[in-house]
Amino acid sequence: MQTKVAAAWALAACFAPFALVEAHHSAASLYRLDKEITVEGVVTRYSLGNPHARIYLKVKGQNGVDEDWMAEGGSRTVLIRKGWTGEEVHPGDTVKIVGNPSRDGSKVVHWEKLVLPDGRELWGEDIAPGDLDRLRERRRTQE
Amino acid sequence: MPMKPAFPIRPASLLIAFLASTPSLAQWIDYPTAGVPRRPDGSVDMHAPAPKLPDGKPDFSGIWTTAEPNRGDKREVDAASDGTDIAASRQMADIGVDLPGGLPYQPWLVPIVKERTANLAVDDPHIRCFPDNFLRAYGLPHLLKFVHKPGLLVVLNEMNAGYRQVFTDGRPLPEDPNPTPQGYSSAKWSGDTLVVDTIGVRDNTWIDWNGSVLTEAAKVREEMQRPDFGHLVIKVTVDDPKAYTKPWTVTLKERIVVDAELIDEICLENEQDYKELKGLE
Repeated sequence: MQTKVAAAWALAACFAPFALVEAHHSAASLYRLDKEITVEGVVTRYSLGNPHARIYLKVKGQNGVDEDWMAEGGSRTVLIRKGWTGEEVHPGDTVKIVGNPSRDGSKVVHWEKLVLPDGRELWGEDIAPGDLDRLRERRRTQE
Repeated sequence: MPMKPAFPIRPASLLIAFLASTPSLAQWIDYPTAGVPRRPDGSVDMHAPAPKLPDGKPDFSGIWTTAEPNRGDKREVDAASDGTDIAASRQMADIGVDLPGGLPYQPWLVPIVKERTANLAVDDPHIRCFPDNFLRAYGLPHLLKFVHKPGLLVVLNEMNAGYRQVFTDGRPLPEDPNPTPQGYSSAKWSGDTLVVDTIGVRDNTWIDWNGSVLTEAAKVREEMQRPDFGHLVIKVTVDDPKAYTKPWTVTLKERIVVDAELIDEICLENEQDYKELKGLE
């Protein structure tokens, strides 16, 4: 498995235009919403828990050493209403997560999109498929 | 003499067996709401008449979420929610966003709000899983359920399974209340408007993400109206001379949520963000 951590877009002046759901905290407090990374790794634990869903995974670092990452998703309540069950991923699954990097450089990511082993894509609470494209366009034009 | 079972069955064993055999998500997430007026196409008729209490006053019962999500404009959503599309309100970060010049902070509060805004609210009590005051709850993405009957309006908040009581039985406000996050609320009808007065809120109670606060001196008046089935309009006036140089008034709008139900969100169950946020300081 390969690590793909690719910074994508530079600073955007405003985060407001999209209805980012601040369920437990504002995502902007912890994450750079103006940037996007892609993380691919093997799931070690998944919890559709309070207050936020979290996926823990092993990611192969650039020096070939496994790194422990955590992907934080939406609030449990909102995801359950959207049909999530807690069985979306399992330990051992290889998943790809597209989302926002941490502000302090820690190995966490605020997921916007989760790509499952069979290629299916699931979306966090904040972003609908069409919205992510529009968000990317906005980031690009605000560079 | 009763027969002994071949193996002991303890209540705890039965509970575990029940939980293990029951889908963990078997909740009333999309149970149909009764009494919803609908158009021929099946959509909710948001502008149908508001339901009435037995005494003829408007019935505020229902599940509500903000009608003005934070999309960077003042667009109001004029459609019912099913609970899957909820978002923070446009007043969530700054409850005084519509006031010319903003909230009239007392001088001592200005640098505090400035710091809280700059540090992205790392000390926000919400992040530490403390209860949200009712003013803030109107704009957060957690469903509120109003249970209304003559004499009492109860507001349930799925966040931390919280509640607020608004008494409409004519009781006076307490003279020397022990401050609480929600304070003490008593209401009277003025026509079809429920006028709710609240006192006894704790000092430093955050009412938005920027860190604007109420103090123990605060008197909050909410003038609640349900103009039709799908909308709740709450005109809020805050008179808090310890925190603000003059009273200020804002209007908050909610829309109805149907075919959904509250889901307890117990924040402390697995809270892990606060330590990371503190690391940013």
